[in-house]
Amino acid sequence: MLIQRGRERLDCEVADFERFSALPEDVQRKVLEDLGCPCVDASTRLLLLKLERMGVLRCL
Amino acid sequence: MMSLLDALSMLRRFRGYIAGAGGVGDMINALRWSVWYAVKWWLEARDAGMADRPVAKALYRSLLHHGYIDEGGRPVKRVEQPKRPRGPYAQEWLALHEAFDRAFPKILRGDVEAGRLVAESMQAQGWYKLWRDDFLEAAGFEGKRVLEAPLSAHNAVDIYSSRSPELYVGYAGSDEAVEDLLEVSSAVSVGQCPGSGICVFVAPSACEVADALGQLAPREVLLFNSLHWMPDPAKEVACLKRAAPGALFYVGQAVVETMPGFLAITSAAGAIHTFSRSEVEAALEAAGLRRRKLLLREMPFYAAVWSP
Repeated sequence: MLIQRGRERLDCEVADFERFSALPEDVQRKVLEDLGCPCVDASTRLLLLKLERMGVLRCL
Repeated sequence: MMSLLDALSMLRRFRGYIAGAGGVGDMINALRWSVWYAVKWWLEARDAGMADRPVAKALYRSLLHHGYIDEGGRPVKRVEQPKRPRGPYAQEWLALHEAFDRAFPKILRGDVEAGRLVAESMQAQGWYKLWRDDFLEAAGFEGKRVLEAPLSAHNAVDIYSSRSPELYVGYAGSDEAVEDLLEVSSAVSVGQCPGSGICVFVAPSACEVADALGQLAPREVLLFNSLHWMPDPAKEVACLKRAAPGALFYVGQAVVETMPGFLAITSAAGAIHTFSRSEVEAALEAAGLRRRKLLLREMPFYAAVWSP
Protein backbone atom coordinates (compact mmCIF):
# COMPACT_ATOMS: atom_id res chain seq x y z
CA MET A 1 0.00 0.00 0.00
CA LEU A 2 1.63 3.22 -1.15
CA ILE A 3 1.75 6.07 1.33
CA GLN A 4 1.83 9.49 -0.31
CA ARG A 5 3.31 12.18 1.90
CA GLY A 6 3.00 15.70 0.59
CA ARG A 7 5.45 17.47 2.86
CA GLU A 8 6.60 20.63 1.14
CA ARG A 9 9.52 21.17 3.46
CA LEU A 10 11.46 18.61 5.45
CA ASP A 11 12.35 19.73 8.94
CA CYS A 12 14.77 17.10 10.17
CA GLU A 13 16.98 16.44 13.15
CA VAL A 14 19.43 13.66 13.91
CA ALA A 15 17.57 10.88 15.69
CA ASP A 16 20.36 8.33 16.06
CA PHE A 17 23.83 9.80 16.48
CA GLU A 18 25.53 6.41 16.47
CA ARG A 19 24.14 5.58 13.04
CA PHE A 20 24.68 9.13 11.82
CA SER A 21 28.37 8.83 12.65
CA ALA A 22 28.51 5.71 10.47
CA LEU A 23 27.98 7.86 7.35
CA PRO A 24 30.97 9.01 5.29
CA GLU A 25 32.24 12.32 6.72
CA ASP A 26 31.39 14.35 3.63
CA VAL A 27 27.82 13.04 3.77
CA GLN A 28 27.58 13.91 7.48
CA ARG A 29 28.67 17.48 6.67
CA LYS A 30 26.21 17.74 3.79
CA VAL A 31 23.31 16.51 5.90
CA LEU A 32 24.11 18.89 8.78
CA GLU A 33 24.33 21.82 6.34
CA ASP A 34 21.00 20.92 4.77
CA LEU A 35 18.92 20.08 7.85
CA GLY A 36 15.92 22.39 7.94
CA CYS A 37 17.04 24.32 4.88
CA PRO A 38 14.13 25.01 2.51
CA CYS A 39 16.51 25.24 -0.43
CA VAL A 40 17.49 21.56 -0.75
CA ASP A 41 17.35 20.08 -4.24
CA ALA A 42 15.52 16.86 -5.11
CA SER A 43 18.66 14.77 -4.79
CA THR A 44 19.44 15.99 -1.27
CA ARG A 45 15.80 15.69 -0.28
CA LEU A 46 15.91 12.07 -1.41
CA LEU A 47 18.97 11.45 0.77
CA LEU A 48 17.19 12.96 3.80
CA LEU A 49 14.13 10.78 3.14
CA LYS A 50 16.27 7.64 2.89
CA LEU A 51 18.03 8.51 6.15
CA GLU A 52 14.67 9.16 7.80
CA ARG A 53 13.46 5.77 6.63
CA MET A 54 16.57 4.15 8.08
CA GLY A 55 16.01 5.82 11.44
CA VAL A 56 19.04 8.11 11.23
CA LEU A 57 16.94 11.29 10.98
CA ARG A 58 13.57 12.31 12.35
CA CYS A 59 11.66 14.63 10.00
CA LEU A 60 8.42 16.57 10.26
CA MET B 1 47.01 -1.89 -11.02
CA MET B 2 45.32 -0.70 -14.20
CA SER B 3 45.68 -2.23 -17.66
CA LEU B 4 47.10 -0.04 -20.41
CA LEU B 5 43.78 -0.21 -22.30
CA ASP B 6 41.78 0.98 -19.29
CA ALA B 7 44.35 3.69 -18.52
CA LEU B 8 44.15 5.04 -22.08
CA SER B 9 40.36 4.88 -22.05
CA MET B 10 40.24 6.72 -18.72
CA LEU B 11 42.51 9.46 -20.07
CA ARG B 12 40.46 9.79 -23.24
CA ARG B 13 36.89 9.33 -22.03
CA PHE B 14 36.79 10.01 -18.29
CA ARG B 15 38.60 13.32 -17.96
CA GLY B 16 35.99 14.76 -15.60
CA TYR B 17 36.37 11.80 -13.26
CA ILE B 18 40.16 12.14 -13.22
CA ALA B 19 39.99 15.91 -12.72
CA GLY B 20 37.49 15.48 -9.87
CA ALA B 21 39.75 12.97 -8.20
CA GLY B 22 42.54 15.56 -8.24
CA GLY B 23 44.50 14.18 -11.18
CA VAL B 24 45.92 10.80 -12.10
CA GLY B 25 48.21 10.60 -9.03
CA ASP B 26 45.39 11.22 -6.57
CA MET B 27 43.09 8.84 -8.42
CA ILE B 28 45.70 6.08 -8.18
CA ASN B 29 46.21 6.90 -4.49
CA ALA B 30 42.48 6.65 -3.92
CA LEU B 31 42.34 3.30 -5.69
CA ARG B 32 45.25 2.05 -3.57
CA TRP B 33 43.29 2.86 -0.43
CA SER B 34 40.61 0.49 -1.67
CA VAL B 35 43.21 -2.30 -1.85
CA TRP B 36 44.68 -1.39 1.55
CA TYR B 37 41.28 -1.51 3.24
CA ALA B 38 40.29 -4.68 1.39
CA VAL B 39 43.34 -6.55 2.72
CA LYS B 40 42.58 -5.27 6.24
CA TRP B 41 38.92 -6.37 6.01
CA TRP B 42 39.81 -9.76 4.55
CA LEU B 43 42.26 -10.50 7.36
CA GLU B 44 39.69 -9.40 9.96
CA ALA B 45 37.07 -11.67 8.39
CA ARG B 46 39.45 -14.61 8.11
CA ASP B 47 40.76 -14.23 11.67
CA ALA B 48 37.18 -14.03 13.00
CA GLY B 49 36.34 -17.29 11.23
CA MET B 50 33.85 -15.49 9.00
CA ALA B 51 35.47 -16.03 5.61
CA ASP B 52 32.24 -17.62 4.38
CA ARG B 53 30.24 -14.36 4.67
CA PRO B 54 29.18 -12.86 1.29
CA VAL B 55 31.27 -9.73 1.82
CA ALA B 56 34.32 -11.85 2.71
CA LYS B 57 33.79 -14.01 -0.37
CA ALA B 58 33.78 -10.88 -2.55
CA LEU B 59 37.01 -9.73 -0.90
CA TYR B 60 38.59 -13.16 -1.35
CA ARG B 61 37.76 -13.41 -5.04
CA SER B 62 38.98 -9.91 -5.80
CA LEU B 63 42.17 -10.03 -3.69
CA LEU B 64 43.01 -13.44 -5.15
CA HIS B 65 42.53 -12.11 -8.66
CA HIS B 66 44.77 -9.11 -7.96
CA GLY B 67 47.44 -11.36 -6.41
CA TYR B 68 47.32 -9.95 -2.86
CA ILE B 69 46.40 -13.30 -1.28
CA ASP B 70 46.92 -16.92 -2.24
CA GLU B 71 44.23 -19.58 -2.60
CA GLY B 72 44.50 -20.31 1.12
CA GLY B 73 43.68 -16.69 1.86
CA ARG B 74 47.20 -15.89 3.08
CA PRO B 75 48.66 -12.48 2.19
CA VAL B 76 51.39 -12.80 -0.42
CA LYS B 77 52.04 -9.15 -1.19
CA ARG B 78 52.80 -6.38 1.29
CA VAL B 79 50.48 -3.40 0.90
CA GLU B 80 51.80 -0.07 2.20
CA GLN B 81 49.33 2.48 3.53
CA PRO B 82 48.96 5.03 0.70
CA LYS B 83 49.17 8.80 1.03
CA ARG B 84 45.90 10.59 1.66
CA PRO B 85 44.59 12.06 -1.60
CA ARG B 86 43.99 15.80 -1.81
CA GLY B 87 41.43 15.92 -4.64
CA PRO B 88 37.89 16.48 -3.34
CA TYR B 89 36.30 13.45 -4.95
CA ALA B 90 39.20 11.18 -4.10
CA GLN B 91 38.75 12.28 -0.48
CA GLU B 92 35.08 11.34 -0.65
CA TRP B 93 36.03 7.91 -2.00
CA LEU B 94 38.39 7.48 0.93
CA ALA B 95 35.67 8.72 3.34
CA LEU B 96 33.39 6.01 1.94
CA HIS B 97 35.99 3.34 2.72
CA GLU B 98 36.57 4.81 6.20
CA ALA B 99 32.83 4.70 6.89
CA PHE B 100 32.67 1.11 5.71
CA ASP B 101 35.65 0.30 7.91
CA ARG B 102 33.81 1.66 10.98
CA ALA B 103 30.78 -0.46 10.08
CA PHE B 104 32.72 -3.57 9.10
CA PRO B 105 32.45 -5.48 12.42
CA LYS B 106 28.65 -5.16 12.24
CA ILE B 107 28.56 -6.01 8.53
CA LEU B 108 30.65 -9.09 9.17
CA ARG B 109 28.14 -10.20 11.80
CA GLY B 110 25.45 -10.05 9.09
CA ASP B 111 24.00 -6.60 9.78
CA VAL B 112 22.74 -5.83 6.26
CA GLU B 113 21.28 -2.50 7.44
CA ALA B 114 24.78 -1.26 8.33
CA GLY B 115 25.93 -2.10 4.80
CA ARG B 116 22.83 -0.52 3.29
CA LEU B 117 23.43 2.71 5.18
CA VAL B 118 26.92 3.07 3.70
CA ALA B 119 25.78 2.04 0.21
CA GLU B 120 22.83 4.44 0.35
CA SER B 121 24.97 7.38 1.40
CA MET B 122 27.48 6.50 -1.32
CA GLN B 123 24.87 7.38 -3.93
CA ALA B 124 24.70 10.92 -2.54
CA GLN B 125 28.46 11.44 -2.81
CA GLY B 126 29.88 13.67 -5.51
CA TRP B 127 32.37 11.10 -6.79
CA TYR B 128 29.55 8.60 -7.35
CA LYS B 129 27.51 11.09 -9.37
CA LEU B 130 30.59 12.08 -11.35
CA TRP B 131 31.39 8.41 -11.99
CA ARG B 132 27.86 7.71 -13.26
CA ASP B 133 27.59 10.90 -15.32
CA ASP B 134 31.01 10.47 -16.92
CA PHE B 135 30.09 6.88 -17.77
CA LEU B 136 26.87 8.02 -19.46
CA GLU B 137 28.73 10.71 -21.37
CA ALA B 138 31.52 8.36 -22.45
CA ALA B 139 29.01 5.75 -23.57
CA GLY B 140 27.09 8.21 -25.74
CA PHE B 141 23.93 7.90 -23.64
CA GLU B 142 21.28 10.20 -25.10
CA GLY B 143 18.75 9.94 -22.29
CA LYS B 144 15.51 10.24 -24.30
CA ARG B 145 13.37 7.22 -23.40
CA VAL B 146 15.20 5.49 -20.61
CA LEU B 147 14.46 2.19 -18.89
CA GLU B 148 16.50 1.65 -15.74
CA ALA B 149 16.65 -1.88 -14.33
CA PRO B 150 15.84 -1.88 -11.48
CA LEU B 151 15.06 1.78 -10.95
CA SER B 152 17.36 3.59 -8.54
CA ALA B 153 15.68 6.62 -7.00
CA HIS B 154 18.99 8.52 -6.90
CA ASN B 155 19.72 7.86 -10.57
CA ALA B 156 16.14 8.68 -11.60
CA VAL B 157 16.13 12.02 -9.78
CA ASP B 158 19.60 13.06 -10.97
CA ILE B 159 19.27 11.94 -14.59
CA TYR B 160 15.74 13.33 -14.91
CA SER B 161 16.99 16.65 -13.61
CA SER B 162 20.16 16.84 -15.70
CA ARG B 163 19.01 15.33 -19.02
CA SER B 164 15.25 15.96 -19.06
CA PRO B 165 14.34 12.69 -20.79
CA GLU B 166 10.89 12.30 -22.35
CA LEU B 167 10.48 9.20 -20.23
CA TYR B 168 12.39 7.58 -17.37
CA VAL B 169 10.79 4.28 -16.51
CA GLY B 170 11.71 1.37 -14.32
CA TYR B 171 10.51 -1.02 -11.68
CA ALA B 172 11.15 -1.25 -7.98
CA GLY B 173 10.75 -4.23 -5.72
CA SER B 174 9.10 -2.37 -2.84
CA ASP B 175 6.70 0.47 -2.14
CA GLU B 176 9.37 2.27 -0.11
CA ALA B 177 11.49 3.35 -3.08
CA VAL B 178 8.38 4.57 -4.86
CA GLU B 179 7.11 6.53 -1.86
CA ASP B 180 10.40 8.42 -1.60
CA LEU B 181 10.27 9.28 -5.30
CA LEU B 182 6.68 10.49 -5.00
CA GLU B 183 7.76 12.86 -2.26
CA VAL B 184 10.66 14.41 -4.15
CA SER B 185 9.21 14.79 -7.64
CA SER B 186 5.82 15.74 -9.05
CA ALA B 187 6.76 14.02 -12.33
CA VAL B 188 6.37 10.52 -10.86
CA SER B 189 3.58 8.11 -11.88
CA VAL B 190 3.12 4.69 -10.33
CA GLY B 191 1.61 1.65 -12.03
CA GLN B 192 -0.04 3.56 -14.85
CA CYS B 193 2.34 5.47 -17.08
CA PRO B 194 1.21 8.43 -19.23
CA GLY B 195 4.25 7.87 -21.47
CA SER B 196 6.30 10.73 -20.08
CA GLY B 197 7.91 11.79 -16.82
CA ILE B 198 9.22 9.26 -14.30
CA CYS B 199 7.18 6.05 -14.26
CA VAL B 200 7.60 3.24 -11.76
CA PHE B 201 6.07 -0.20 -11.66
CA VAL B 202 6.22 -2.11 -8.40
CA ALA B 203 7.45 -5.56 -9.41
CA PRO B 204 10.11 -8.03 -8.28
CA SER B 205 11.77 -8.12 -11.71
CA ALA B 206 11.47 -6.93 -15.31
CA CYS B 207 9.77 -10.15 -16.33
CA GLU B 208 6.50 -9.39 -14.53
CA VAL B 209 6.15 -5.99 -16.24
CA ALA B 210 7.91 -6.60 -19.57
CA ASP B 211 4.74 -6.05 -21.63
CA ALA B 212 3.87 -2.81 -19.85
CA LEU B 213 7.45 -1.59 -20.25
CA GLY B 214 7.45 -2.59 -23.92
CA GLN B 215 4.36 -0.47 -24.66
CA LEU B 216 6.37 2.59 -23.61
CA ALA B 217 8.98 1.99 -26.36
CA PRO B 218 12.16 2.58 -24.31
CA ARG B 219 15.24 3.32 -26.42
CA GLU B 220 17.95 3.04 -23.78
CA VAL B 221 18.31 0.50 -21.00
CA LEU B 222 20.49 1.51 -18.06
CA LEU B 223 22.11 -1.27 -16.05
CA PHE B 224 24.29 0.73 -13.69
CA ASN B 225 25.81 -1.33 -10.90
CA SER B 226 22.64 -3.39 -10.76
CA LEU B 227 23.26 -6.89 -12.18
CA HIS B 228 24.41 -8.21 -8.79
CA TRP B 229 20.97 -7.45 -7.32
CA MET B 230 19.10 -9.62 -9.84
CA PRO B 231 18.36 -13.18 -8.73
CA ASP B 232 18.75 -14.43 -12.32
CA PRO B 233 20.49 -11.73 -14.40
CA ALA B 234 20.40 -13.59 -17.74
CA LYS B 235 16.66 -14.22 -17.40
CA GLU B 236 15.97 -10.67 -16.32
CA VAL B 237 18.05 -9.12 -19.09
CA ALA B 238 16.21 -11.35 -21.59
CA CYS B 239 12.94 -9.87 -20.29
CA LEU B 240 14.42 -6.39 -20.72
CA LYS B 241 15.37 -7.30 -24.27
CA ARG B 242 11.75 -8.35 -24.88
CA ALA B 243 10.58 -4.99 -23.49
CA ALA B 244 13.12 -2.96 -25.43
CA PRO B 245 14.13 -4.93 -28.56
CA GLY B 246 15.62 -1.92 -30.33
CA ALA B 247 17.37 -0.34 -27.36
CA LEU B 248 21.01 0.07 -26.49
CA PHE B 249 21.98 -1.38 -23.11
CA TYR B 250 24.40 0.74 -21.08
CA VAL B 251 26.22 -1.51 -18.63
CA GLY B 252 28.40 -0.18 -15.78
CA GLN B 253 29.31 -2.77 -13.19
CA ALA B 254 31.79 -3.31 -10.36
CA VAL B 255 33.41 -6.70 -10.99
CA VAL B 256 35.94 -8.96 -9.27
CA GLU B 257 38.72 -7.31 -11.28
CA THR B 258 37.63 -3.88 -9.99
CA MET B 259 38.99 -2.38 -6.76
CA PRO B 260 38.41 -5.01 -4.05
CA GLY B 261 37.34 -2.59 -1.32
CA PHE B 262 34.73 -1.00 -3.54
CA LEU B 263 33.46 -4.42 -4.61
CA ALA B 264 33.01 -5.32 -0.93
CA ILE B 265 31.08 -2.10 -0.28
CA THR B 266 28.72 -2.76 -3.18
CA SER B 267 28.26 -6.37 -2.02
CA ALA B 268 27.61 -5.69 1.66
CA ALA B 269 24.16 -4.19 1.26
CA GLY B 270 22.71 -7.59 0.42
CA ALA B 271 23.91 -8.21 -3.14
CA ILE B 272 23.04 -11.66 -4.45
CA HIS B 273 26.12 -12.12 -6.66
CA THR B 274 29.72 -11.11 -7.12
CA PHE B 275 30.63 -11.22 -10.81
CA SER B 276 33.86 -11.31 -12.74
CA ARG B 277 33.99 -9.46 -16.04
CA SER B 278 33.62 -12.69 -18.01
CA GLU B 279 30.60 -13.69 -15.89
CA VAL B 280 28.91 -10.35 -16.61
CA GLU B 281 29.54 -10.76 -20.33
CA ALA B 282 28.36 -14.39 -20.27
CA ALA B 283 25.07 -13.36 -18.61
CA LEU B 284 24.48 -10.64 -21.19
CA GLU B 285 25.31 -13.00 -24.07
CA ALA B 286 23.02 -15.66 -22.59
CA ALA B 287 20.24 -13.07 -22.63
CA GLY B 288 20.76 -12.62 -26.36
CA LEU B 289 22.74 -9.36 -26.34
CA ARG B 290 25.95 -8.63 -28.18
CA ARG B 291 28.64 -6.18 -27.22
CA ARG B 292 28.79 -3.03 -29.32
CA LYS B 293 31.38 -0.95 -27.49
CA LEU B 294 33.80 -1.69 -24.66
CA LEU B 295 34.71 1.42 -22.68
CA LEU B 296 36.51 -0.07 -19.69
CA ARG B 297 37.49 -3.70 -19.17
CA GLU B 298 37.58 -3.66 -15.38
CA MET B 299 39.23 -0.66 -13.77
CA PRO B 300 37.86 1.34 -12.09
CA PHE B 301 34.80 -0.62 -13.24
CA TYR B 302 33.43 -2.57 -16.21
CA ALA B 303 31.75 -0.29 -18.75
CA ALA B 304 30.27 -1.27 -22.11
CA VAL B 305 27.37 -0.76 -24.49
CA TRP B 306 25.38 -3.80 -25.62
CA SER B 307 22.46 -4.30 -27.97
CA PRO B 308 20.00 -7.08 -28.93
